[in-house]
Amino acid sequence: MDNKLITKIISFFKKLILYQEPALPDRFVLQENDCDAKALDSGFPQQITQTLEELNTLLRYAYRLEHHLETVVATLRQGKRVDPQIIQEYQSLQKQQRENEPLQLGYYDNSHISKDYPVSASLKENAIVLSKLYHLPQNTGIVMRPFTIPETPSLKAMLVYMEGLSDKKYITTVVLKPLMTIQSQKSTSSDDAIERIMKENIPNGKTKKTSNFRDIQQGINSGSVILFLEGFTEAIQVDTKGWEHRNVDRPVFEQTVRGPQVAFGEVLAVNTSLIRSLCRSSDLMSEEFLLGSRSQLTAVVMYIESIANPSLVAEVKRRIKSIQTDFLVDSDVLQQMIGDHPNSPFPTTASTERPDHVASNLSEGRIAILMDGSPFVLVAPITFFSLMHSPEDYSMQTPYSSFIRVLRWICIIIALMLPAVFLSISTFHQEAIPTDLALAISVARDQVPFPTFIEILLLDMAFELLREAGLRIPGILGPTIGIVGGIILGQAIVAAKIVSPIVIIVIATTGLTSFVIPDYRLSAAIRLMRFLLTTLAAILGLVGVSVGLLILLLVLCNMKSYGIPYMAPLAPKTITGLDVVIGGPAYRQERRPDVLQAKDVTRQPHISRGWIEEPPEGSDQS
Amino acid sequence: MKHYHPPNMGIMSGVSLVFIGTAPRVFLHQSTEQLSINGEAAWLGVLMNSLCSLIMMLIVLFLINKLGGDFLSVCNKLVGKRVSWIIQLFYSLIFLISAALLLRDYVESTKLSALHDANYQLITLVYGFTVMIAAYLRIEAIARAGCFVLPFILVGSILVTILLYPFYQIYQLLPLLGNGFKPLLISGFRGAGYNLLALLIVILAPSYQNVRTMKVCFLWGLGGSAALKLLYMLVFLLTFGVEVGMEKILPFFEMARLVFVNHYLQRIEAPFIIIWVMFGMLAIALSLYIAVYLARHILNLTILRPLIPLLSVLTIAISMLPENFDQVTKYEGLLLNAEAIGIYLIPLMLLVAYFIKGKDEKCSSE
Amino acid sequence: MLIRIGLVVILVICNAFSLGCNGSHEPDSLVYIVAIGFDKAKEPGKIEVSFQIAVPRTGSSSEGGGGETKKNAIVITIEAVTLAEAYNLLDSAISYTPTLSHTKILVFSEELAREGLQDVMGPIMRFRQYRGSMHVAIVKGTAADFFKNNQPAFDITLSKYYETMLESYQESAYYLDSSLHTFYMGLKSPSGQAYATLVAVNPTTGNGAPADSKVPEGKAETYIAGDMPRQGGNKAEFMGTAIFRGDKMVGVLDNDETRMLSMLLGAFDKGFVSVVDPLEPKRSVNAFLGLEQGPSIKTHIGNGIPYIQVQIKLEGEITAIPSGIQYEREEYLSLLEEQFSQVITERLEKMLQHTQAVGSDVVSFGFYFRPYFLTRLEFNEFNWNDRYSEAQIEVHVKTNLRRYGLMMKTSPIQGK
Repeated sequence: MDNKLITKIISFFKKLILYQEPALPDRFVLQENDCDAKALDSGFPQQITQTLEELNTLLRYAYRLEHHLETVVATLRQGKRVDPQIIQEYQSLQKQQRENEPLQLGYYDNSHISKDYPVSASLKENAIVLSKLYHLPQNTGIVMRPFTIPETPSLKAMLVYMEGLSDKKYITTVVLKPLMTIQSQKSTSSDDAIERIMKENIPNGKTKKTSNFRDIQQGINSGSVILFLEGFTEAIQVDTKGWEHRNVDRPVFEQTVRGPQVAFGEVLAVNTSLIRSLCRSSDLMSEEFLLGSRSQLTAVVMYIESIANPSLVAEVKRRIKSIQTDFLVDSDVLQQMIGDHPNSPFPTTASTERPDHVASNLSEGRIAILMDGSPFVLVAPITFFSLMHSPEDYSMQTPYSSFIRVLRWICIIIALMLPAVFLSISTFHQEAIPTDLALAISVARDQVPFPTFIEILLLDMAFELLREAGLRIPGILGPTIGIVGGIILGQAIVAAKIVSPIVIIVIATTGLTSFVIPDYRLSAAIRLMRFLLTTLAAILGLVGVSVGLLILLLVLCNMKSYGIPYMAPLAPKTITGLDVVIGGPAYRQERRPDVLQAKDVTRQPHISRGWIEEPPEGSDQS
Repeated sequence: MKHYHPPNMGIMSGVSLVFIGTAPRVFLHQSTEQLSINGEAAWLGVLMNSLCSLIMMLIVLFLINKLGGDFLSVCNKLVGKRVSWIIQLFYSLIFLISAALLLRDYVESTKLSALHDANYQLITLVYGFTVMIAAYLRIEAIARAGCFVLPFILVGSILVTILLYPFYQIYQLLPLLGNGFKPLLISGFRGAGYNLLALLIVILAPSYQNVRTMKVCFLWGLGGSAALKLLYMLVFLLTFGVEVGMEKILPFFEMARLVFVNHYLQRIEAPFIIIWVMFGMLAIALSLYIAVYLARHILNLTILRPLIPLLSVLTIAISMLPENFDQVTKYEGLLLNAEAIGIYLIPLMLLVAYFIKGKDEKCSSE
Repeated sequence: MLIRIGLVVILVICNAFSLGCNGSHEPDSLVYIVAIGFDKAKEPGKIEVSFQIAVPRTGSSSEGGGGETKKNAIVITIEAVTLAEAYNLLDSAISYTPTLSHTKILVFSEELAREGLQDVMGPIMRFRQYRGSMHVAIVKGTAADFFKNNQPAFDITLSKYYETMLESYQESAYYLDSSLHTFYMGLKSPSGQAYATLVAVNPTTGNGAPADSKVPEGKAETYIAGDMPRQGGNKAEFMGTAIFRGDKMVGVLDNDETRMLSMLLGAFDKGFVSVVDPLEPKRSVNAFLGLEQGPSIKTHIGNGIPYIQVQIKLEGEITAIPSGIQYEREEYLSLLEEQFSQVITERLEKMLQHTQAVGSDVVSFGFYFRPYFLTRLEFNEFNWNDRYSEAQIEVHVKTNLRRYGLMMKTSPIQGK
């Protein structure tokens, strides 16, 4: 009794004084997936559930058969004529029996459903299969609507579609309404009922028959509506895609002053239509591929059959077909899977969001690869020089566009080499600077505590920081951060004598010129190379710069983009056709680029302006 | 023996390869040596060098035209497998040692002119590493990088020569025969060995489509490098003359330092470093690659690439052998003698063998 | 495998960065020596080397406020046996690292030059920090003195002072610039000799000391550096040329003779020339002349004696006719041109006699004798430098006065 009292007192004081944790449930920790261990001994329980499912199917079949038999017996006993409906039921039972014979009923995982599992003749079976595949009723979004087609005898049917992906109004107009108001007098028990319904009653452009669940799944997942009919082992798939998507808009990255202002969207059909609207040729092929075993997105390869090299096309298609992956969402991810040098920062395909760019490339013999859900279209194969072309070059007059192209090339060299050359000349080769400038640099660097290399690295990193941050700042804060960044980097950092003003000029010029490069990935690659060159310059001066430049050049010359050399037409010398750096006027673009080995090389005859040779009307020359 | 077919290359790549193989010594002390031997007639000596080497190359081309295949198969047909094996070994060794000595020369030049206080071994390692990467990426990459770099080299070199115009003294070219006729003849013939690397076109013959392509490569490549060397010799003579010119170790560097147009355009020798370093690296890599290519044939191996790091380390080691610059010059003299044997004796031997044997051979053009 | 690659990369990076900075210097840890001066030391066998070092400031506007003494440069004089030793000793005197990559001028004292520059100049091109575009000058007096008194009149850096000074000789041709390249070539050439610019410190008291090479009918006085009568401005003065035989200085050409030398070298661009008025000997005529084309020099060797004929064509415009005689007219113009030609011919002959007397062929006539020889051996046997004194030189000058300035004729001044 004393114990009890003392214990009580002690526990009372404990409760008063000690800290008590609040009684919350444990945090969620993702347990390690021991599916490796599971795989070994998964045979045993799986087999039991498999057998269970088989038994259930057989049971259901048995119940149905029993019900049918009872109906038949009742009808016969009553002496009525055999209903066509009963005959139909009998036939579907027959077919179901045929299915049950090869018992391949492993239903437990979705992946164990054989992809080629055929459509059952019984609507109920189909419903069960579908609910297993889509984990119904937990997974909302799938709509299964059973209805009756009012023919003689009436045909049971079921409509399955995904709610967000299909256009509901369209389904009603195209599928439900015509079927529910069908006026036909022919019997529905004949085998060509499906054909008849497809041909006569469904006013839609893209309709087809499917007979296995793989195609049905793919159809539902991409927005089609599936029509199951009782007693038929084929289902009708009607294409009713219609999810919400962004409208065709102006380009975000490749804006030009002159020229069309249309950009690709996220819907594949819209993108292909945009390309087709610019290139209205019957030779323009577009071939579809399904990529990703779980995501099942469509990729389309477009090319002009009479121009593009057939072995090039075959190679691209071969690469795309051989991809095996789970999820493939973006065209740039696709590019990494099929590209030649995935480890190199230099891109081997062009990625553009303008249809006119794609169309002009197609007309030169290149191939376009589009991906569902990605507003960027890949163009392959390309050379380094075509990455520096901007679509605006073709809209301006030739002297100006040639000048701008030369300026772009000077800018890319500046963006690559200016900090390295500045560093090496100011620390290793001071004699190259005029004496007054050397003295001025000495004065400017007077109280700066860091060596020039660290200054350049610091500012370069700060510039990259600004750029990255600028991508993520919400639009409201944008100008504020811009001012702060400019003041901090520009003014305060010099006044605090952390860096010298000359290095700021160098880095600002470099940063500015790196944005002149039309292709975003190329400018990223150039920025990366610039760091390496600056480091080499800090170690070995101009010798280091030239060694780094040589290695870069060698690596670039070694690269191939889908079979053509990356640095053509300068490195292996091919016939260029006046479009590499200095552009020529439109009437002189007679040949396609030689390196693409197109089927038909000449674009236009030598005299493409007929009005030059003939005299004008009304002149004296006959 | 599985034949490694070199990739297809065109005229431009061939020309740039020959140019890279034969011209880079113009940036080193070759001009000074020729000045001390020949005096004012050094430019005549350079001209003779190039002409002799061109004639020898055309002789080899003639043999290939008649017998088909590439240089090695011609050797096999004409003098038998054993002697041809010895010839290949000879050439491979020459090219390897030439690469090593060229590397040593470039490192010395760098240490003298560009990076005076740098560690010698660091420079050697960096250059050796670059050469290894260049040779590892194989001859296509070297040829294309050469195509790319060539215009800049030409423009830079010609720019230096033009900017030195105020310093020309035309009478420095006289007296015409310099040190006399005999030294001119001897050095003219012997110096053809400088252009031995032009032989790579016939060694790699399967990558050029036909003999006409190869001939064009030889003419333009050797002619271009001859023009460059001639220009340099002339300008060096015009600006410095013989007495002062004989003293300089680095003619190109000195010429670039001398440029003085006004007080804004002076002391511009730093940007030219980029030109001659790139050129030299490509040349050493080319020499190394041909040596490895021949070594592969000698040792009867199936692939080429693993030999490259090996032989490049060997090159670096050989380049560090001479103790001082005088020994480097001596070894280069010995190498030049060996190259002269390689460019005169062996093609002539093949020609003689052709005329003795060739009538019996069936001509095949494949 | 990955660990191995990682190790190799780390080793390479450590190697590259740990072997020192490979000769790189931060631009503010260097100090630029703008001029080097050489003097004879009191001890025999030693020289005094003066370094003029530019103080880092930004051109004409100096930061950090202006005091009364805005120092352009500091001068440090060190006594040593050789230049290299002095250069190393300099390290102990200043905190920065000195560098010679921006040196503009090498100044030798006359004493040292007369003794012979072989010890200093002979090996100078071996060290990589010297370059051919440096200039060479000889100073009357000591170089240290010259540097101390060299305060540019305008607020410019000393490097700019030297650069502009040595480029503006073209305006008057009263002094020539001699780059190290030219000087060195002259030293080693068998066809000619070297010359250098003459500099000195002018006391700027207004008293001058004319040189004695005036010819009759030449109206202007002749001076050498340091003797020009002026007041004000920078005390340092560039005028005249020092001529060498071998490595020893043997003579001095004053400003007029320097102009003649520049004519023979083809470097006379423009300059004012005064002569006595042919029709009124009390007054002078002034013209602005320049070379029309390079001098044409013909040579031949007869009986072992070298003969040289020089043809010089000058052209220019009349700039002043105080007497008012109408020389613009054709008949008087030829008189005037004749007068100019005669004066310049006399001056040229006098200069050539002066150089022949000391045996120094600064014009490098030897080049024009080269076509007569087939090999270098023969030419070296000809030994032009010793033969120069016995060469026979003829000079013909033709002056063309093509323009008359802004005036067509001179109207007389009324009411005198």
